[in-house]
Amino acid sequence: MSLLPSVSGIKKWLSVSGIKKGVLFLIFLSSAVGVSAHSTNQLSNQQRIQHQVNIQHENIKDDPIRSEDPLKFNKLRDNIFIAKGEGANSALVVGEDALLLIETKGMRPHTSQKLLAAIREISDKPIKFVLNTHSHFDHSGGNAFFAKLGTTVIAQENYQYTPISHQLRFKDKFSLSFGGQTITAYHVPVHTVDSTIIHLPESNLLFMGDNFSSKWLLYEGANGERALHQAMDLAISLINEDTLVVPGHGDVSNYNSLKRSLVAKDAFRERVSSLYKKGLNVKQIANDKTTQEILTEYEGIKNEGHPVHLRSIQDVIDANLAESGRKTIVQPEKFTGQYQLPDGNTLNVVFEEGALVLRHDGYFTAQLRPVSRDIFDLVGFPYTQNEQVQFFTDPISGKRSLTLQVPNRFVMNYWLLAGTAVETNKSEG
Amino acid sequence: MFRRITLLFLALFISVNVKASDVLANEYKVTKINQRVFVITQTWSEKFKANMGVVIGDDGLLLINTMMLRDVKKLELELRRLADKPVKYVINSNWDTYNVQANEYFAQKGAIIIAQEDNQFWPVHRQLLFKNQFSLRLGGEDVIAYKTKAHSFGHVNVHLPSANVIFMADSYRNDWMTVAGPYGLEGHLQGIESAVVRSDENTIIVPGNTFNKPLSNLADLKKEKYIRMTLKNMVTSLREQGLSDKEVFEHNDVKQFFKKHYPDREFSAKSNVLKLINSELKSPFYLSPSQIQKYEGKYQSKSGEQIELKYDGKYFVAKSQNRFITTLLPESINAFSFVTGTGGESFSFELESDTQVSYLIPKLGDSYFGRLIPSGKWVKM
Repeated sequence: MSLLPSVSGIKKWLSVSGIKKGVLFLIFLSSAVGVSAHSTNQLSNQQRIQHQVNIQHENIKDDPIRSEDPLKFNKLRDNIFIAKGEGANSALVVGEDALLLIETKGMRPHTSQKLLAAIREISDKPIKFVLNTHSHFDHSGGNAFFAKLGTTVIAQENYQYTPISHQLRFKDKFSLSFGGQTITAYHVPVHTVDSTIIHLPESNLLFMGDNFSSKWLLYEGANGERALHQAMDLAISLINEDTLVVPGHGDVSNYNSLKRSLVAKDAFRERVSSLYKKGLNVKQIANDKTTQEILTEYEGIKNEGHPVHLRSIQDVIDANLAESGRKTIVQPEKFTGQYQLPDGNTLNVVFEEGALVLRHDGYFTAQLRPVSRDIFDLVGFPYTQNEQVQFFTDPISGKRSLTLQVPNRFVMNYWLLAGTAVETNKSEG
Repeated sequence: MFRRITLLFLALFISVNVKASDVLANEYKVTKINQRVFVITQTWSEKFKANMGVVIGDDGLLLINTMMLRDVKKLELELRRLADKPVKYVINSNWDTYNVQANEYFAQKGAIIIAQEDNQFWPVHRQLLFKNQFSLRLGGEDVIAYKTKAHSFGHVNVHLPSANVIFMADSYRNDWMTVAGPYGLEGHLQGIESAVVRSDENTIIVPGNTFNKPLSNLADLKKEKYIRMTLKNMVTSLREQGLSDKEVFEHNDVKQFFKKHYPDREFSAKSNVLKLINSELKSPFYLSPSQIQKYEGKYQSKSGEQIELKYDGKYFVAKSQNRFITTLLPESINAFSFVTGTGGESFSFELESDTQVSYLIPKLGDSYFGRLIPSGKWVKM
């Protein structure tokens, strides 16, 4: 059963809650709308990106920046500026002879033009580099626009499984000397598999992306507690009480707030896990008083059983099960390999760091969590809805195939393929 | 420091005004791997050639190494013959001068210089540093640079899977034993193996320095592993017979070994044998975890330069920004030898008590490291 609510339900909830800056929930809305009407796998990257922008545009009525208002950069530190609205917090670093942009936003069809206009209010220098904290469209939707202007986009290497424009890819860490800063990006596979945090030590700034929010318990990814703690330990080691900690959305925060979020997430995860192990389902957990108190204390709102909280509970369960699922895959070679759909799209199943992973260049990547001998759930992106893959081996020919079943093709910025793909070789993995 | 060294390089080489007519007809040999990937082999002398790579993208070139600044105009002419496009990216295989010296020249023309992050410990121009792996797609080619433990800190192999070619720079050569590097034979073989697992029978292996065979293949890599292990076994056996280090590298079996495998080369075996002994065959002086901690930390010279010392589980790593990075093995409680040293290079330590290290004193003589690291007492901070 899908846990996703109707659009009208969420609008009603937003209205009741009084939250007017719910960018997180707009992201959620975008996924909830779905695009099942599109029956073909064959859409270009640009078509898929435009589809995302259109969905977000339909649901962006609560953004702090109105469609007709300009974006504006305000000073954060010397030669560093920040612009809110129409997606993630964007930062501009002004170098001697060029600019560097962190986050390209992308919530409306003309966001990129507005972002460029705001940049030009600060400087006429060329924009040499773009960095994102992750590949979600509200952070990276303008990458292609800026790349066309000659900007080099540097991203984590799992961007190759998204349609997001980028040129350079790093695996775990890179640093860039720019504008008197040593700008260092660290891969932290928390909110997404391509998430990073970006550190500017000379300016004592840390960009956390959606790995942190001072107001919401954001999705912490399929890698669960272990990845979150590694990322938070790293972040805390980089900062001090004077550091400006910039979340993906909302107001600039600080050291204490970052630590507070970790305490809240740990308490939430612990409570949900405990109740789940006792046999409670998602709705029952959502109605638990202690769970509600944790959420209310951190997020400052009371909404028993509202959809985002239901989703957060499901995510904790998914992450925990995904961890245990890793131990049960005893013969990964039964599944690893390359599979081809009738339309020519190629899927790869690989076994990495103890987990089976299904991926396709330019489309998506997801961990496979076993639910039976041959059936796996897809995990690794927020707001999943029973996406499953089933493997089959022809008893006569021995040829393997997989069938990908997805309720909606579009999940966040991933575009899931559907149909039955037949093995092409057994070499990968 | 970095700026001063850069200016020195410029002063030495920028005045060289090379005209088109200066280009020797046979100085550069271009080998086409596919429509977009090329190897340029420069002849420096009768017995010394050097390789670099070029990938042609839609709107610019990627260079695998930039070679010497004095030759950069000649190189540009060669590049223009391949494609009249700007150099957009440079990937450095390591920090060796002949791989990086023209970095700044291309950077000033707009190129992005990409290198492994340990290149920050050498006085080379760089902009974008990565830790373990970096990739980009150019002209339909995936270009993947990945760190190995071979040859030098900052070394990467550059793999182009579609073109089926691996640029190994100085971590492999087919005419002589290349420098194994800060992690000794183990690091060298790890680097070779990382290329072996990415190769098939058709893979082109591009060494950095060459003699009469500019390109290699998978069989050559396997032969390299065999040669290295054979030498290790031979040296181990001779040492077990009680021979001194000098007696080992002067032993007839060792001489015959090099004559057999490298008949065209007349280099001394001494350096390779001593480095092999230092890194693989000597038992390090045992230090307990609490003793190790006493040496770790920063040391400062009288003029304010700093050296940081950290234990990595097998070696101590000593490093100083824009100056050097190297591995050390404890030989006693107050002397750590350089793994890559062949002349007895070491750091001496003065201990105030059993619990306190006071000073680090470089003992480097007239070695290469002696020119990089100021002498005198470096106080523990």
